[in-house]
Amino acid sequence: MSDNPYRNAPPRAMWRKAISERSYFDIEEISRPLPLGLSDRFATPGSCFAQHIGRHLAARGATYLDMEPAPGFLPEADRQRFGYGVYSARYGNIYTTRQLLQLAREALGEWTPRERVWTKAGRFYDAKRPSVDPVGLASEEEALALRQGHLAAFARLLSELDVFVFTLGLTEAWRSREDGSVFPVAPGVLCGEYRPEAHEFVNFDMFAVHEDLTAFHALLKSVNPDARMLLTVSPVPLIATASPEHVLVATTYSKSVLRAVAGALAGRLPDCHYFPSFEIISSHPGRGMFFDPDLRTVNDRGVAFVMEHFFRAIDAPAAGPGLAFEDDVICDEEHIETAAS
Amino acid sequence: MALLDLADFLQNLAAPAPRVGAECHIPLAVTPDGKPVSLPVKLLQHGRGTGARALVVLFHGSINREKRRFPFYEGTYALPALADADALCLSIADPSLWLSPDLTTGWYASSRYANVPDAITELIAAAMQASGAQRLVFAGRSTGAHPALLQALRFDGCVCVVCNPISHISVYSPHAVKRFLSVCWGLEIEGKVEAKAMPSAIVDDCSDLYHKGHAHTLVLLQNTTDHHLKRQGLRLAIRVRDGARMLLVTRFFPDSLGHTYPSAEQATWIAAAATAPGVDRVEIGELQARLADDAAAPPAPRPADKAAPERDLELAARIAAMAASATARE
Repeated sequence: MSDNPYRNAPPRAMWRKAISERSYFDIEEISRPLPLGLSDRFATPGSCFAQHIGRHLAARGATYLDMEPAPGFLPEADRQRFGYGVYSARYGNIYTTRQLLQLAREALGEWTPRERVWTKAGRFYDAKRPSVDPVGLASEEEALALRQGHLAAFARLLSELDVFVFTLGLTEAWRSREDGSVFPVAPGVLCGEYRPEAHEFVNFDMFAVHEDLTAFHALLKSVNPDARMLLTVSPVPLIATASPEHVLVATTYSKSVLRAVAGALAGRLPDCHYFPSFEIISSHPGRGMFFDPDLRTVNDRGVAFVMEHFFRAIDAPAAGPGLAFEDDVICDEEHIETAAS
Repeated sequence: MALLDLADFLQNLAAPAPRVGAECHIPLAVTPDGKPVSLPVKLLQHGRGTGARALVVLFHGSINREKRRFPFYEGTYALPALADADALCLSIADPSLWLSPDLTTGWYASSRYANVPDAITELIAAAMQASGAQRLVFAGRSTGAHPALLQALRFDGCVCVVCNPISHISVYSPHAVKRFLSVCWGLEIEGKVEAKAMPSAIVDDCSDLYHKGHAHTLVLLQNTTDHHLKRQGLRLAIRVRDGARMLLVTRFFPDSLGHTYPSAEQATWIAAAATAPGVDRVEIGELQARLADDAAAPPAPRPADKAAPERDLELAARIAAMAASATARE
């Protein structure tokens, strides 16, 4: 047989050997080795799925940064509801790259959004993270003071982290017509008021996502030249779409854009890497078995399977028994369903 | 507890309150190099119930020999569900595993030294007679399903509860099959294991026998995501001739994927098989549904459900005050 480029390809490169002829639970080398270690200081913003990564990292002894720890007076059982310990700072879900970029620019003093506070039943909420204060605050001043503290914490996070693990979630968002300020959830869903003359829907295309993420990367490096970025795409489908498409078609578009940009950046930037959470959970060899019956949320076994591959990719020691969570993931997006009914 | 001889072991089963933990190694053979081969059996539990007595016989599957001492008696997972039944729980270990410390499974299918299925049949018949049990239940998972299926064919009217069965030996993992053939039969197989290479003295595929019919109730529990499903459990289910005597339960468990099955769920099936009014599959299935419902704990209320708005308002005020204080310090 004449020589050809696939002749000595490793098993992972060949579909039959890598997938067809083995149990999905025996799949190997789905992620390339990642030059990260448990001693690195990790930060994990992103969509709902990012919470799983943070929890597992912390449980495995990684240096998981928490820049806004819960105050001592807040009972353990209430901390998650008040946005503490969910991520590395109290930013709530960051679904889009535009939201991430705007948060970083605001934290670094480059930009200030105009619409920062929403109201509901006489209470005041941070419009950029409306779920972290479940009953809101007594005044706009209180909401803004808490936001200032949060921005300072996020700025510290950017400068102190070693690895920024960002889970890309959505391309669809709602923004202010006035200054393009993006909200994690549409006005009126959790609080605030939807006004068509003030708010508009946007579905970021791959060029916009690429531009945002590149700009964020540059900002991050400007304050922390040694920082590395690990990108992953959330396998959790959209709970609803505001586009004219069917929600399945809209999900495929959204995830495709995010996956393409993550791959492009990981291929272009030497300190930017990609981990295939999306493929492990969502691709058809998994036969949908890692999803709950709603075919949207990822079950615990799926999360564990992703993390097993993640820790293998960073060459972490094997986990001890009983590493399981009764995850109660905070997901602002889910309020859309309640609001729609 | 010291080992009992067979007569004492059977006598113990006849007692109104048998001694739990009683163990017996029934001699079967001695290998040419002097290694004794015996059939290990142990009474794991006698339930507190007073209904009709049942004898529950449990078989183990493949064993990690680095972690488990032999003889290994599987079945503790089923004991809580049987605690309130007048059920004698016997666990039997595979005698072939005496032959090599690295043999992980032998399907209780015999070796060149001992006819294991016949020895088990003889033991069960004697135990039934001694204990006065009115019902017989066999249970096994994975490769332990093979002996359960085989023995059930020899006791009409019993119930056989198998889970993710590996009931066809020659199509199982080649490494395990070759090791079994080498250790137990002295057969060294190169390349693919063919059915024709299997010793004629053993039952390679239980579905061949069930294809001819059976006179007991078969409960086949199968995890939908078990990667052995197609070649093992599904093949068995398809080939069972008397479908009216079979209950095939396939389920998806988000937290129990692959060749696994939640033990508590299996236990409720075994308990239902031992205590249902009759051995009809409908009676067993209906009782299992009730037992499973009873076993399911009510979900704990989420913190959000418990939180009183007033309390949340107070917490929010304290968080705001903390932020204001931090700002003032800066």
